[in-house]
Amino acid sequence: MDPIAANAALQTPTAMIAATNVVVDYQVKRQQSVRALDGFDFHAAPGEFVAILGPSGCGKSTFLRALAGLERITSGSIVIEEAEPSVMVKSHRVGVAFQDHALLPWSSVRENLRLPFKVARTPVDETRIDELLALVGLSGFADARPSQLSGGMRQRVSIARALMLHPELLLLDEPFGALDAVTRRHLNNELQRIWMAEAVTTVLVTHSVEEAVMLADRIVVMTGRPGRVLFDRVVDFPRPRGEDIARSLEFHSLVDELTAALDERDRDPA
Amino acid sequence: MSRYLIDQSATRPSTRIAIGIVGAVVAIAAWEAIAASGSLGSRLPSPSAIIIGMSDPILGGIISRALAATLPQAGIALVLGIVLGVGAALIQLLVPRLERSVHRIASLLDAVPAVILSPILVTVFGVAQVPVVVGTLGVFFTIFVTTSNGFFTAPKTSADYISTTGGSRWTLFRYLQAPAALPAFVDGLRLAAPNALLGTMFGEWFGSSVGLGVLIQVSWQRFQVDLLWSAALVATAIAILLLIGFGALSRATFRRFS
Repeated sequence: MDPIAANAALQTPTAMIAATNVVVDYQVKRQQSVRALDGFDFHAAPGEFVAILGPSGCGKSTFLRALAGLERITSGSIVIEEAEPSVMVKSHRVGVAFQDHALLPWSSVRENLRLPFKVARTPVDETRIDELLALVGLSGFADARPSQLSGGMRQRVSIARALMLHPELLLLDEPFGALDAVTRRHLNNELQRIWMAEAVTTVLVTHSVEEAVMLADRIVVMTGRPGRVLFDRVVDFPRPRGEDIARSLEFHSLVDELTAALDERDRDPA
Repeated sequence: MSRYLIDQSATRPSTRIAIGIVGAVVAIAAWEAIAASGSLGSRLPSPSAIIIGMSDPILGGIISRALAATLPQAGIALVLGIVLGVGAALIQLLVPRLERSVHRIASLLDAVPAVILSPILVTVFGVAQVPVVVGTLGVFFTIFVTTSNGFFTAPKTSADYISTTGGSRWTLFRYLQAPAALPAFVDGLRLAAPNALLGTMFGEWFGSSVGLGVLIQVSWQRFQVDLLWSAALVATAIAILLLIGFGALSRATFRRFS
């Protein structure tokens, strides 16, 4: 049996992403390498929102970069819709937003939102751009340059750009990681609303426990370097998760439980 | 940012221009006063005397003929240098394996002084081609260094975005690396354009029969002080005008693309 078929058989038949025993080594010097991920397993069902939670430097971003086709894995396998990650990437079906907004500084917001169409070599759909500008609450800012926007607004543009081509997979690497706590909470609410409107399979990498509990259907908790799965936890609060949920005892006890798990395992002197 | 980009924050453009004009006026006035006092003898003509001397039709004619020979050569050198410099930067960008070799060859060409290289170039290209070749070399290295630095200023995460959205190598170049390199390239032009003129003039010293460089060489050997100063003034004025013109273009590009 070939490795792809073997992996598909191991996972539930509905899995959209199936990663098995992923190892990533970085070459630091000629004879020296660092193991970023060690036997990492992951799966996500279509339409599921999975958060990967872990201490900084645990390799969670490395895994997301591997899903995005930006990182080679040393061993193991990653299968997205029964193919290599690059297949979905090359057919423009992956949306991505990073902690850095990654917008083109010389282009206006609208020009930046045209970029996905240009990258995919498809006609620019101005209606879709207007729709997403409205969805992220920036309708009046189409002609602004990124430097004229606040950090939170730039991240909204970045998320609008990620969603532009109706991706089947949305990858978010700490998209609100550089923002202040108030803006971050606000944008998490926004992201939840946007995600419910767009219904796209999403993998979010974060070190914020509240963010993960607020947004995810399921949380994969990682150990410190080298990254492994500590445990996998379903979050079944009803959506939309508003202030009432965020203030509830269940929410706080789950946050405490996950925080304790991270503290206990985070022995890596980072 | 690279050291070739202008520091925009230090002063406002109007202030900078005012400081430049005041500085130039003070320097010219001091020169005029020293020359008029005669303390350095008749070998230092005053700026006014040089300019009045240039209105002489014979001297003016000599300078015009020299310019007619040198400026087209310098123009060709500028274009060739740009093509080769951008070409080398592109090779370095697109074939990372050649990065070191390209950089070494370029640095080596820049490190060998023109005074050593030029006689060798005469034997390779012939007297007539040397002004353009020396001018081209001066432009090439500046454009190569600024442009290749410019390519590397393209934000890494934007490149990651384009890759993950399924962009091709060409898409990455067209929408990210090329616009990112544009301010550095134009700033390179600002530095390279005077190099094209001065390099071409220097190249004329190795056997050319006509040109601004030849004029300076001949007038100095024959001790024709008026002609020497006139030629030097014209060459310097053109170099400064090129610097100012491309400087304005560079600032405009910088504002638009960063």
